[in-house]
Amino acid sequence: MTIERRLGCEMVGLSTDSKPDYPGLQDFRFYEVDTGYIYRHTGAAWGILDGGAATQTITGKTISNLDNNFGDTIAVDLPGSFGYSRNGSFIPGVNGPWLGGAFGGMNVVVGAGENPINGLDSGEGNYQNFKGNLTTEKMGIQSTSSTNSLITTRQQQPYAAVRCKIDSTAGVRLWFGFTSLQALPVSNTILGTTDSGVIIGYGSATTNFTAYNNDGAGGAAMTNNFGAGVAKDNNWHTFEIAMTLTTVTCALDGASVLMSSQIPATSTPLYFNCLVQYV
Amino acid sequence: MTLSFKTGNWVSRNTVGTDIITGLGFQPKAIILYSSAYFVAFDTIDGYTYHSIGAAVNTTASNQRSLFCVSTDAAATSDTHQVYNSTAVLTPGVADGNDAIGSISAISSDGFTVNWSTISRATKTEYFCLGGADLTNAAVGDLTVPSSTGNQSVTGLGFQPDAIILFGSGNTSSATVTGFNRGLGFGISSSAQVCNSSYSKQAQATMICKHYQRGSNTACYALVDDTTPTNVGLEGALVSMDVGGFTINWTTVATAQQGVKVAYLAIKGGSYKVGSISSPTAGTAPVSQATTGVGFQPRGLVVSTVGAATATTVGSNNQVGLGSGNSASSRNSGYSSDNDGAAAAVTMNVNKTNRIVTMYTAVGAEASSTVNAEADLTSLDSNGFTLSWTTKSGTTAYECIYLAAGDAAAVAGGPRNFQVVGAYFTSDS
Repeated sequence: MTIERRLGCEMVGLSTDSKPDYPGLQDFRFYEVDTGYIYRHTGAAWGILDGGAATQTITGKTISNLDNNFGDTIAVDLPGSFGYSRNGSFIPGVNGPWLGGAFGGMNVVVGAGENPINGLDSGEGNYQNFKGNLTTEKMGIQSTSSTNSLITTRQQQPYAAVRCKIDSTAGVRLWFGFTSLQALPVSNTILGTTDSGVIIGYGSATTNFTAYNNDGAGGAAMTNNFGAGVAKDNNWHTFEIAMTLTTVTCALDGASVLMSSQIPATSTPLYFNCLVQYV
Repeated sequence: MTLSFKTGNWVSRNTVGTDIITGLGFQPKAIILYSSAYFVAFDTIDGYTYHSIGAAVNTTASNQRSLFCVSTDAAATSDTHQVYNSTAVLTPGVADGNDAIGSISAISSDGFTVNWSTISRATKTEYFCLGGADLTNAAVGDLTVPSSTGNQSVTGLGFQPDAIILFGSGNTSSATVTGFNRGLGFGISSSAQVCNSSYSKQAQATMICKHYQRGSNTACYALVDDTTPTNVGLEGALVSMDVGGFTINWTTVATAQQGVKVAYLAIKGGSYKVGSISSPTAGTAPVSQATTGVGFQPRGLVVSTVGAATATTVGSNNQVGLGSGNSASSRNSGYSSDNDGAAAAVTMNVNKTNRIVTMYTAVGAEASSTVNAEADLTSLDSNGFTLSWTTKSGTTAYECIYLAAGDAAAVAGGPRNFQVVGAYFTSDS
């Protein structure tokens, strides 16, 4: 096709035509009628302005999935980071507790011959009752092996909370939290010198609710009172543990204890337990 | 909540198939089968020295273990065999040509079923079973004795045992070999453990038969040394019950006992007491003997003896007795022996249905073997048990080791209720 000069700075031709190249063509536009490409002369050369392989950023447009077809692959910029949020819930139920999400598969234990039963507290509402009567029994949510445990690390910055009570503190231990042991020891020493973990609760000889922490480096676990010391009792309480990359915070009904040393290493696997154990 | 315990016995079929045992009154969680006399009627004395014991906690083959030892009667050169089986609960006769193998194939609310995959003669077996709500966990497995002394831990049980029963032979694998070297032990802690062993040496023109027993809470398992039978060849002490298992400290490991298999039944839930008693020498039989200080009322009692007085060294004669009882009308026992120093094997065996412990001295005409001592179970008491020694010696106090099992101790002050409104967990990376 013979290149045609139109009004203004426009030329029309085929893609196979040799585009003119002489001085004075800056900002001229060349329309290829066979491809639809539009070229603009920069003053030095022809550059594609629109159509075909022209780079474009599309903004504010609505592309109908029904009216259009997308061929080949589409490159999509991934976000700079991607987060996996893991959640778990323990919810009382008529036929037994529901353990969902991260709690799924955990070991729910009650005393020999007992079943977890549903109860109703006038102030707290629905609760799950775990009953036991024999020495060394454990009741509650328990990790005992790698296949029935909630496992996390401080790297994941976990947070756990429970609302619970026991009707008598005599002759029992109460433990809520995380430990490097797959199964809690039958002992008032909940975190040994080589154990890592953060536990809220009390042993049978303990007077107050206590926050225990250790890093397993060989020293005895640290013990912390909440405030001036809250004596263990048979009231409803909320326990919370929140871990960050640098600290661990334990809270009893909102009163917190901040731990910045002798806390589990960020990569240490930690198993979750929330249970009462008879001495 | 209770722990259930029942002893019984039965005569098996003599062709391949199943024996269904009922009447326990509960679903067993731990089944222990034993016998000293397979081919003669109960309460009848016969020749040969037999001992077998097996344990199972379910129908899975890998959760069943058994051993069988035999010494041939009147053998001019001692002819002994021992077999260990890691997938069956009964192997009577294997090694003396009768090749019977039985496994627990079903467990019901009132008993269990033994499936005989191989059998040609009716065999007599006694048992005791444990169950009930208080018994929360039970496991059967085995360990291989190391080649040196020191601690060995059994792990992976998934629970911390309250009691263990150990049994084994001179076998290093599931096979039939010559020899007769069996061990039995009970343990609940480092300060409460007992054991015994009995032995006959193979291919001897003059019989070499030994026994060994420790009832003083110093060892939970032992074997006589097959190389030097006047010595203890293997001895171990229970160090601890651990989260997920237990630890034994092997204090003696002779070369001949390196690598032998020791089977265990580990149980959790209930109350247990381990100890030893000795038959009375004073008085005229029957003599009542009350044992107290158990700490609870037993539901059942297991008794074993090597038919000798308390000693700390290996003694003469292969003698082994094992019995169990849960009431004055429900008790079983077995005893067999093989005389040391005989020119041809002098043996005996008997299974009894009316005694919890019995012990004999074998003579050539085994039916004439004499009772040295035997006791019936009178009662299981609030803090122990009472035996009636219907036969006793005026000079020898025969030591017996025992394991008593009962209900779990209740928490002082009654039950506890742990109430949870809800729990929540979240984390992100």
